[in-house]
Amino acid sequence: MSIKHIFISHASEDSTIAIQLTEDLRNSGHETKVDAKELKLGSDLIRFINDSIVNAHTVIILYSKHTPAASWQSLEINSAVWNEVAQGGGTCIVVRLDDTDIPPILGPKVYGKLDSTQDSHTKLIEGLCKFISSSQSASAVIPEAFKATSGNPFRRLRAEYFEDRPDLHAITFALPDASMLGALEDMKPCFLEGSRGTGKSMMLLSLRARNYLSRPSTKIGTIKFFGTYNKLSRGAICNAGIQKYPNCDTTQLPNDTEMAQFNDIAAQEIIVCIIESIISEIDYCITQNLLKCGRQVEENLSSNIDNMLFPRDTKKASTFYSLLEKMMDIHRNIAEFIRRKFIYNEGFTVPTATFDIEILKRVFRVVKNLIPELKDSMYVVLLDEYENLFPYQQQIVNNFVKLGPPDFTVKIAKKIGGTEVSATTTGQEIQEIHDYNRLSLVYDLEDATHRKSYLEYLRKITMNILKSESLSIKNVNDLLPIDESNEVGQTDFINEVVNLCKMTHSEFQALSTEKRNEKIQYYQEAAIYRALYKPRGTHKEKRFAGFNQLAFISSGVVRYFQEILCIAYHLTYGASAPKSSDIIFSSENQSKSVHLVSQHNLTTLSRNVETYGEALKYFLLDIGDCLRHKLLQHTSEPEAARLTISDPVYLDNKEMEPLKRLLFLGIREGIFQTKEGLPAFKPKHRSDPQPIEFNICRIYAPVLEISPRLRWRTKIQCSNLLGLAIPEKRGKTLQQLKNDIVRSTSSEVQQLPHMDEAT
Amino acid sequence: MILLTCSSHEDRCFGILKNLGKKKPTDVVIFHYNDKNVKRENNHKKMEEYVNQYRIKPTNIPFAESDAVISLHENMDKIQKIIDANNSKQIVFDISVFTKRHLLIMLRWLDDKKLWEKLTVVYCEPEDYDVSQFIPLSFGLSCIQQIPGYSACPDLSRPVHLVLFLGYEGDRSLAVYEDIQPMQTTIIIPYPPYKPSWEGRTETFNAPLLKIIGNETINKVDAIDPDKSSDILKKIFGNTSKHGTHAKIICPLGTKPQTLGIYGYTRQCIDPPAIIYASPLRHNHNFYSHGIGKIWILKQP
Repeated sequence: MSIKHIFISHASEDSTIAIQLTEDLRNSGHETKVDAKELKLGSDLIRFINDSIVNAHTVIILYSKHTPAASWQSLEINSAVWNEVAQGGGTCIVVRLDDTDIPPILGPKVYGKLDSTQDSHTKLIEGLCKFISSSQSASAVIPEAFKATSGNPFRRLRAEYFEDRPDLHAITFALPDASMLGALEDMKPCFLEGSRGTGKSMMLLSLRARNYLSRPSTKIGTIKFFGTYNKLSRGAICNAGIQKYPNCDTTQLPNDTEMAQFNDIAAQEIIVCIIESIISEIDYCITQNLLKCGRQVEENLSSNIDNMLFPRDTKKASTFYSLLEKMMDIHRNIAEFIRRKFIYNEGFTVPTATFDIEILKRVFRVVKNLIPELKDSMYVVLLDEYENLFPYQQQIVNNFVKLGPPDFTVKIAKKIGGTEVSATTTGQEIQEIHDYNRLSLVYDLEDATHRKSYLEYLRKITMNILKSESLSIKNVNDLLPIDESNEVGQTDFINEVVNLCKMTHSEFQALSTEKRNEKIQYYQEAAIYRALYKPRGTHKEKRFAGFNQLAFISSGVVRYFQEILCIAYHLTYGASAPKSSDIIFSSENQSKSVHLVSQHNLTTLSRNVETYGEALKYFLLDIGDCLRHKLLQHTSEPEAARLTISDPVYLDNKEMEPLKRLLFLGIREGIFQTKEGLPAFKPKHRSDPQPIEFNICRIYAPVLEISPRLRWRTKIQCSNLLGLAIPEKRGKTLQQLKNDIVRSTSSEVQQLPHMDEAT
Repeated sequence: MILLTCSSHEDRCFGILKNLGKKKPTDVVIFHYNDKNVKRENNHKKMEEYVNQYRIKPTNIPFAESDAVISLHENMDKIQKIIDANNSKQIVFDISVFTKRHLLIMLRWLDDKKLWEKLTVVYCEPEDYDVSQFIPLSFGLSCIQQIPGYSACPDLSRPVHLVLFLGYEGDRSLAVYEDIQPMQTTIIIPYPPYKPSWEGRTETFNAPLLKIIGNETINKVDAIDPDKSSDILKKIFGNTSKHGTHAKIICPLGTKPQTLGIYGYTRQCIDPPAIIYASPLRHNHNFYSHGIGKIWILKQP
């Protein structure tokens, strides 16, 4: 795989040093393998050594007095050196543990000596890290390309670039297809769900008043929506009980009184925040002349809202600023109450006045009455990053879903696969369809309608960006040319097709031309992958170019497509702005960009995903390893990345927790894209389970060296997969899975279009 | 004098105790983190031995970093009693090896208990860090959380302005940046560093983040003077007695004295920032710091 590792070869007597070295290298961010840690009784040692050497970018040989007599280590050394010299494989370096004579062939490879002092150990680790870092292919390109000051037209990947730039948002935002737009603009509340990078925030921001009113299509005098945006970022809101009962863990549930206080204080804080956002939005729109009512409404509106919120106050707010100052006082009081009551356990009672949803509705009515342009508008509360709320706080937001309409509606962006809380604080449940719609922002590229919408959406986004930069390209295909030359030699290609057909060459040649072409067509992609990846120890990258292929590899996630364009631009033009109105990305740069984006998204998992990020990365690598093995070894079902868990019902068993955690975290982070069983045949009992597909997001296919096409199913049972989620069982489980996967001939072919036929 | 201190895997945890000289404490409170670490346990014993030299018995306060609020609840009364028993005495707070989350919780609590004026904050540098540009101090991301008691006064429709005090943990700073997705970001780099030879380390460790954000937003602020950190925040966020145009978030990954400066700024604000913290998956305990360096008495901002 492209994400290769360091392999440490050592004699069994030196295993303590090897394990220490492994841990230190891992803590410095390097994936490291050592047999002492990963091999258990019954493991296939030969295969382990073979795979470890083939997939290593560096082999560290710990050479000591024990080495000459260590037969397995000798085998490792011979194989590693041969692999480096004859096949261009990973670099071998020798670290001496004592003064034992080194064989001449290893002499030039001696890197240094390790003695028992800490200083020596530190120097060695530092030196090794330095050596390894300099020899790795740099994904340092990525931060360069995303640089804030870059002139790259495609660098604005995230919603925050548009948060306060309605002009830019209006130019570059592309409306999705009618079905999505319908749910978004309907009075019924709506949950927008998607993984990282699916454009949730952009979609919400499109309804924010300042952005909506900046759209060229919005007619003056007919303001259909008035949206106010709230980003529920961490640390900003509702921290009653924080850390004490963060997730209302049933083993330490607070008592009823405490729970009621948590709810009450969080509800008040959220309502205050929403009212603040209404005032701020009106203020902004008036200042920017997006609302034509002018400043004269300010005093009237401020004092009316003040009367409602603070009826006993004698000093009334006459400006938006002074009203916001008063609101801030409430936040301060709440913060102190939380600290005293919930962090210090002091006997504080009531923090502030009581606000409820009725107050919020009254505020909307006042706005309606006092600003004529908003008289007939639909009021939309836009809540972003819902997943950052604790479950008891989500119940409060659910109240708005249940009780908001018809006075106002709520549009909520949340990560897919996050916690599902349907309760409200009033005892009612919110029900899909009846109370709200659910809008998935991940396009299913196997569905023709979805695929068409997605391609159209990407095309619009790309063209809008090009237009905003005054670039003259009229068609995305001109920007992203395809390369029609053969990726692999014809002989290698035909060899692989013949192998896949389980025929000899003469048998294949004996087929009619029509039959031969049919076979070639059927196995075309698989044969290319096999011809590219099969020669072990060498590495050739699969080519990805052209609008359709890039859209396909982005797997229905808009951000990945934008990242690919951003990097492709950077590889072509660097950080400078376009110098001519014509830009074009060569197929080579498109392809390189796909590989860089793929590698970047895999390597950053351990940094971007909390707690289990590292485990998730290894889990993905292991599954990728199995599927790659199948791609290269299976005689009839090579493109089998349709990972199907045949007995998902067992995921609810306690012992399956580590597996379930990684699978569902994977969905949340967009690593797996699911397709739940057959909707019409839900299981009636445990003996009749329906399979669940956990398909690896296609963006990871290049780095995992698997085919992004999900042609065949790879059926796996929970029990067979569980070991990959348990560190000490990983090695053995991986070997077992590889064996099983190649042996199995399970499934029907999924008839899919070729990537280039995706339209 | 009451000494509040903490044990750690770093040698400098006993730097203050070792150098108290004739200033004999009447009481010593040693915070003791509960995660497994052989090096720290050895150092803790050494600290107890130092305290025994003054013929007093230290009060050990167990502290679970991951359950900071619960730990505070369980031990607040104990600490309060010691402080009450030494009513008018000075409290020397050795912040050298407290985690930043714990440090900020303690500062807020001491302040809320009206002890801010009685505090003398001291800090001991390590002789050197065992890091290089290829060996970071920590690896991965455990969680990003608001530090208990440090919520903002939000108008959540305001765009987010993130101020990142950087240290030697590039993974964490980049993770915070990517999680918060701020509209505006300001970077603070400790300068001059404790030692001239450490110059450029922070930039090296945070190279990917700095590349994305660009050099324009970098501010260099003294590593040891809390006042300077407090001042730069006033400059960045504006008047502390008015509410700002942005939702403010600070992430303290810089030095402990800078963290003290952040607290000093926060306590003066009517529109305070949220303070969030990113915990690593693993500390690189074998390559952290060694020895005892200079000792500083810090002026509270």
